[in-house]
Amino acid sequence: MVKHVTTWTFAAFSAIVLLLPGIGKAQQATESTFQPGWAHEVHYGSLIGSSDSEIQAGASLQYIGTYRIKRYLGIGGGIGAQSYQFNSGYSYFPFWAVCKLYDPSQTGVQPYLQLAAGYGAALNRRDDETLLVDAKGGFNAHGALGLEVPIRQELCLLLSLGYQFQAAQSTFDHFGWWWGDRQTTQEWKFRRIQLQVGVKF
Amino acid sequence: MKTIPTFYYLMGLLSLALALPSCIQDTCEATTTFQAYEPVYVKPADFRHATEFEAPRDLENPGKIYVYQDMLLINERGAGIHLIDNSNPEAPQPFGFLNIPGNVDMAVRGNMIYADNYVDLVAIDITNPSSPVFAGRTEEAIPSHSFDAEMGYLVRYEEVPMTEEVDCDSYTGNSFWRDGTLFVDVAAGGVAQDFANESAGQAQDVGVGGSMARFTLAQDHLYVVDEHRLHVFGLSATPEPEKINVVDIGWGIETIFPYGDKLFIGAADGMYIFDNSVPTAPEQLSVFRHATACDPVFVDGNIAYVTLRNGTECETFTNQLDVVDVTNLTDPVLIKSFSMHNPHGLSKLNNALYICENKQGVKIFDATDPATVGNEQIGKMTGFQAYDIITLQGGLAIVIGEDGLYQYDITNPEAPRRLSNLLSL
Repeated sequence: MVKHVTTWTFAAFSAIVLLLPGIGKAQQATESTFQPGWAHEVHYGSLIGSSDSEIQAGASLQYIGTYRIKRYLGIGGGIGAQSYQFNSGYSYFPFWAVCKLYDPSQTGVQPYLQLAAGYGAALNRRDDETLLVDAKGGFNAHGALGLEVPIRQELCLLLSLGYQFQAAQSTFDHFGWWWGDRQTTQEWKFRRIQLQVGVKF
Repeated sequence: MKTIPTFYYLMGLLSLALALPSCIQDTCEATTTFQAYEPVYVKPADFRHATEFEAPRDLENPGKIYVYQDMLLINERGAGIHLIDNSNPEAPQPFGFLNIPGNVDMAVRGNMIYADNYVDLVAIDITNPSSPVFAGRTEEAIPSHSFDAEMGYLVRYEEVPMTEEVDCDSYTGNSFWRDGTLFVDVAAGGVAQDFANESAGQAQDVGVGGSMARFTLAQDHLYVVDEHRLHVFGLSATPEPEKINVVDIGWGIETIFPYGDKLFIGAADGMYIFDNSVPTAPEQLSVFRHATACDPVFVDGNIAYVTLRNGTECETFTNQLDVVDVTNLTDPVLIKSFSMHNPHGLSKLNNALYICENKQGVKIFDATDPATVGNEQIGKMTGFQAYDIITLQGGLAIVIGEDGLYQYDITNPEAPRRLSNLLSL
């Protein structure tokens, strides 16, 4: 069931993203003028992937601030919160350096390529309930293709499809009367599709 | 318009890439670390010989303590007993070291030390503590896990740290054999056959042990608890104890504390009360159940003080003091529980309760009112790890722990005064 929902969500999202450039044609008449300056983005999305043949769905929330230094280039940074499994030990606070590339020939709906790389710090270091005794973050990066859809002046709707990577480590205790105490360290490499919606202002 | 195909091209590539399962597959490599336990066998010929008395040696891994008249006995875990002249607690002087392989506990009655020597009990005459004399041996007094004709007695398991790769979603708790090694935690149900303890008020020719002891003397008999049973030994006929009874109790038995003609036995699941009016045949009266934990017991009057602690061998997260009304021995009633840090051995002298709190040292509580004792801390002894304590009339507290032996003047329990610290002998 989860697999079907995910597949249809992915298909619908892709269709919207792919059709939007057409909508953009209608807006090409409104030629925008380029001015260097800051732009702020807030994204919310899902992190879809699989682990041992089971569909995994996480969530992400992120803020990205970029300074548009050229018509085709913005650079900046971002922070966020990401959860790859809704259990203690698999959530992170990433922070990135961000590069955003635009097609300078486009007006109206703007396709873009966003690349970000940084570090995702573990959110929970300990949790007595799940016996998490240590969690470490690691390299975090994502790349996305998206569209900026102007809604009104200085406000755009953002839609993107991307790829998210996070390296991490979680260590859990296991207590047992008979089998004894154990400590297990998991070295994770999360690789997820990232579907996002957001706003730029 | 010419860029739109580029966008479609990139989007197509991205979609294709994402469609590949390996690209969106989380990977996880897990390693688990645990303690394996390798069996240790000892051949009878290696330990069944007369006990040797050696020159004093330093405390390296001190265990149980025992007081007999002006003498202090400190167990060196698995190695023997330090004999110390403690007639001046401010300057204790070593007599020497009794080399007893496998020893973890002891008791003394009538100038005779009874000590475990792996599965045997040995009797050592200390009429002249400067020159103890081996007096006798009771073979196989304390059951061993097994005996192998070639390798000898299985006396313990040695911890061996192990690391292995496992599946991330696998259940990591398993016990299994591999190359003769048992990969389980047997610490809680361990193999150590240890001993000792005596409550205050015993006859002069009987010593005093701590609350962590597995071995006690009462009514001319020696009582030893292993993990499941209470062993009763007669002491009158010959120097070496004679086993006369074995009483099944349950599981996780840890300590034994005599009080009057009763025996209070601390177990992982509760405190067992035995009527010992017939010393050869202790009879269970009741059991006070508590959460699974390690639980030394000290009894004074109608009140039993039970400390529960966590730890690898205790399999719990409980750290507390239970105060139990034992007026009706067939129906002990909990008065109150108090949170503690990590309580181990305990003792009571007059109206002060002394509790070893591991790295926090010893905490001293006003025990005038059992219902509030855990909230009424009046003093402390700090700066060392505390495992067990003995208090003596006259105002002396003897504390043992990883950092050695500490002695305090507790004439004023609100301001205990350190008399000595012993680690090097």
